[in-house]
Amino acid sequence: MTAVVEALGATKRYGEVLGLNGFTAQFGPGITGLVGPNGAGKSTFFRLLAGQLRPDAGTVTMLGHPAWGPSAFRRRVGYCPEHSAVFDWMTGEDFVTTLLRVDGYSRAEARERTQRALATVDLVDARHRRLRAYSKGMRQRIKIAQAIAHDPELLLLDEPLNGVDPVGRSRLLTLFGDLARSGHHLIVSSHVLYEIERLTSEIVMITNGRALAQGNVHQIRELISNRPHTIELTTSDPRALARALSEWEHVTAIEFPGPGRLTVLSRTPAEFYQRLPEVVVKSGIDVTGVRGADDNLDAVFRYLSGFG
Amino acid sequence: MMSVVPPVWTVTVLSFRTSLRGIRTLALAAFAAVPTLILLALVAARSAPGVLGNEAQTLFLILTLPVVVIVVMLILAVAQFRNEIDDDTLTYLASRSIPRGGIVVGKYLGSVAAASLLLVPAALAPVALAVAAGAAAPPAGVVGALVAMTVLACVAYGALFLLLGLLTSWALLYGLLLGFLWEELLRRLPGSVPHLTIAFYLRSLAADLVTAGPLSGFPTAVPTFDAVAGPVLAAVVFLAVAVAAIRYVELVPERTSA
Repeated sequence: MTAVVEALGATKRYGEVLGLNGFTAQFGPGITGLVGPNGAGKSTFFRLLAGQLRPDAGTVTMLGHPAWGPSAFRRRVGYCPEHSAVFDWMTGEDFVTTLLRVDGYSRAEARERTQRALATVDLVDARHRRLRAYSKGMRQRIKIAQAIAHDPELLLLDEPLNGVDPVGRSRLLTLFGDLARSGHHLIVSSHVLYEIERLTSEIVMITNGRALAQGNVHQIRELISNRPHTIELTTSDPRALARALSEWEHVTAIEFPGPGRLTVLSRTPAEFYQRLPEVVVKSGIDVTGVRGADDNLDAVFRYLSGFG
Repeated sequence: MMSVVPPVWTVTVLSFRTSLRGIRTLALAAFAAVPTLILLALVAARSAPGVLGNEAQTLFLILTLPVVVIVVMLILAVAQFRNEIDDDTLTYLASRSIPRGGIVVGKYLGSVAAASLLLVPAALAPVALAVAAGAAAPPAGVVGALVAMTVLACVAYGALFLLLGLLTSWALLYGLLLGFLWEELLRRLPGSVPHLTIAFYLRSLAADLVTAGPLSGFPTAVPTFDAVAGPVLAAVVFLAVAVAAIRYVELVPERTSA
């Protein structure tokens, strides 16, 4: 994997508090989710990437450049910070145009790019309003607009969906997906796991300033061997199916969570999925649904962090 | 390679606009008007026109230059970094491709321009008011001296206070100590010690440019060129230190957590 962003033993202290503690991770092309609870170190990492903080130890590089160093390469990077602070006396249009001008764009090009970015985040109608009159969701969107306006190769989005209404969230998630499909690289942080899950399977999990795991969430789940996988089945005859499955050695438990439903814990889900059709055919039991209930980000995070 | 001038100019304009916003600016403008209000009180008290002309110059020397200019410049210059770091808005500049030194220069120019816009009229208003009240036209060079001293004070103190705002969250306190204790105490000591203050050069300049009245009364051996070069050189040094320092300064609020 070619790393777009790489942290090697990055450590950052705030006095006696450790923001990052030897954080090592690689972020590849496309979308990577940085997930972890509040206070895990996500924003510290983003501030290191944004060049606001200098690592006390270790290195952080983006697009092959040290994050703390000369800033010329930052034209290839867009950053949407977590906090909602903006120059609130400015209009939305003024805000985005000014920051493009700081990046060296001519007045005409800055205006054109601003209109495009505002249209992308649905703020054209509010472009002449002062930012102090923007709602929290609108502020999030104007921050995203300034991050994408210069069409950066790499987008750093720190909790970009905070405060955005459900419709806005859906649109932004679609936008992020579109950006990734058009060749941009995105690092998106969130403590709301299902949001990340909608965007990508590639994740870096962080807690207490350390990387807990990284890679494809499903592959990570496979590696957690001490936790049987939970598989939910929908069937017309749960008891008969339970009888058949209970003979399998790798099935460790079977539960009946509700009418027509069966929950099976299996140590080897691959084998389970492979043998299930055979049982269904032999027994003639009608199975209408099969779903891995903990083959997801939330479960993986809970298991790895010890909260599950 | 893209020129760094337009981005720096954008930061200058941004800083200028930011400096002249809000209640703080109104308060600073009101504070800058205090010498004018004092002179207005003298006019209302029917002081002799001849006295008013001298009083206008004296007010500049004892109030505008050593107090008003320093306080206004201190607040505007420190705010350039300190307020933006505390408000977390500096993020937007720091994460852009503009060199960090360019941010320093842009903010410096913006704050000096904003302060000059507030302070030059404040420096000239008492003299204009005295003339309007019947005082004789001021001696040659007074207007030029007032403008030059005010702008040079903004140039020199602006760079010093901007540097403090970049380096420490105690910038206002250190600025007050330097602006009042250092400048006022050292200026009064014998020998070459006053040369270490900015006020020394500013007062020398006034004495060079003005032939009569309180502004001309500073005993100086410093030629006009040196009187201008002193504050300018001080500004260049402070600014150079700030440009070098920002490469090592973390631009986040102290409350920042993980």
